[in-house]
Amino acid sequence: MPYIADNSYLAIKPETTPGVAVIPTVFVPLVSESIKTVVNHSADRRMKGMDWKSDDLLRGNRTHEGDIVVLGDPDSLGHFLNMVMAKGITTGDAANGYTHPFTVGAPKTYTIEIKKGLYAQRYCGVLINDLKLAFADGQLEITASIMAQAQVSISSVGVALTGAGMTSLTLDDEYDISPNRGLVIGDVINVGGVDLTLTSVSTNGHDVGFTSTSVTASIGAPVYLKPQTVSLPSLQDPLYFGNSLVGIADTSANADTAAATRATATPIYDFVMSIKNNLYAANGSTRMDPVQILTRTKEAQIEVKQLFENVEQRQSWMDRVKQAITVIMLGKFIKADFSTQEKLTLKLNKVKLIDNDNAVNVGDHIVDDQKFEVLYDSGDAAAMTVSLVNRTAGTAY
Amino acid sequence: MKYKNISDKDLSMPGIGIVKSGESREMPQGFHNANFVLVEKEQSEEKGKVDIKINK
Repeated sequence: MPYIADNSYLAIKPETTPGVAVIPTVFVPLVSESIKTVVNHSADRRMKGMDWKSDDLLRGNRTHEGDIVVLGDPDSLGHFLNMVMAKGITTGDAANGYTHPFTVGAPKTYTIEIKKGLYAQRYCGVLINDLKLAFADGQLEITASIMAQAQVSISSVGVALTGAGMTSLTLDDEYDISPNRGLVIGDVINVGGVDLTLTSVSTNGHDVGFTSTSVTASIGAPVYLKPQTVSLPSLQDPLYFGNSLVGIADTSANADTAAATRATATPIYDFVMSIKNNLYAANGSTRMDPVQILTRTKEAQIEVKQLFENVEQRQSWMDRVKQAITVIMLGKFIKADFSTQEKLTLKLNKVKLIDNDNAVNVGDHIVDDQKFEVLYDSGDAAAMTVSLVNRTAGTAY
Repeated sequence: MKYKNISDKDLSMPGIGIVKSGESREMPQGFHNANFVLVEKEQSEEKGKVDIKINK
């Protein structure tokens, strides 16, 4: 039976304890994904009197990484910011909208789940290594390069199930020393064609329990995590480039002022921002998977294009002049009287130009094709902050 | 089987419709979603349980 990708889903949820899976309940419409487990199987090259390279494969250290692409609606966007920055205290309410402040700091780990036809592929301990915000066809697109601590999807029966009255399953350790890691009470697994709702996940790493059921499965039979039925709350539009305001000035306060109105905002013709956590995900003792994933030095870059009208930006690039950028992306109104609306504010306190190219192409306007490094501003005591106004309560993050 | 939406949001479900927060609804065979909890099994299953008690 073939499976069409359009029936897939991405579901996410913040973890209470980093690396300990939860069942994801927030469904985010997925554009594409390329996450994979790099198992690092390698040929067994021990000399055994053969004239052939190898007769078997050996296990290796694993990583779980790849990209998720989704559209940046204000509610989903909050979760992706939560995976790359530290969320502060949320203010507001459902009627006026919730305001979530994000600063440079420790992000939250997530469990994410992607439906792959017959089975669900789950990753836990997920953090974003590089969050890219860009516009495709004028719609905000989020590309999250993630790393995960572990995965669960398909495993094998370790001890045969023999019919009536079965209450537990031992998973085989051929893939992993802890094959039940990532499973959660309430999950549904399928073995021998029977759906089993888990009532326990043993700390021994390989047993799971369920209510007494008649199920038959031989050793080595496949076990897979059953996908959920998709459930979506009211889905908002992505933020649009056309409803964004950009202020570029000498100080952060002046950039805020410039971005506050359409009359004073600087028109830009391209926007890409990348926020990086430079994650550390080394393998070591205790697990075949990364032992833990830690953030290291944070950084960010922003790329914009402005029409070339004077030499100021080129001069700023050559002289490494400090600038500040405030980007405001507006969405739909939240309050009935149109006094509050969805809003993403990216405040970059100090930026300097790494590149400022004035390419000359026949028939084209000349532009300042710019790439800024986001720097720490000692005066403001910050490199960047983010504020998001949406319809999602802070408890969801 | 009947399931209740325990999330704080109304949820749109392909092939099922919109289920309001707190609402219970009969769901198709094989339904599985962590925003819902089982509140009522099929009548035939409940009857089966009653029969066993009577036979005892």
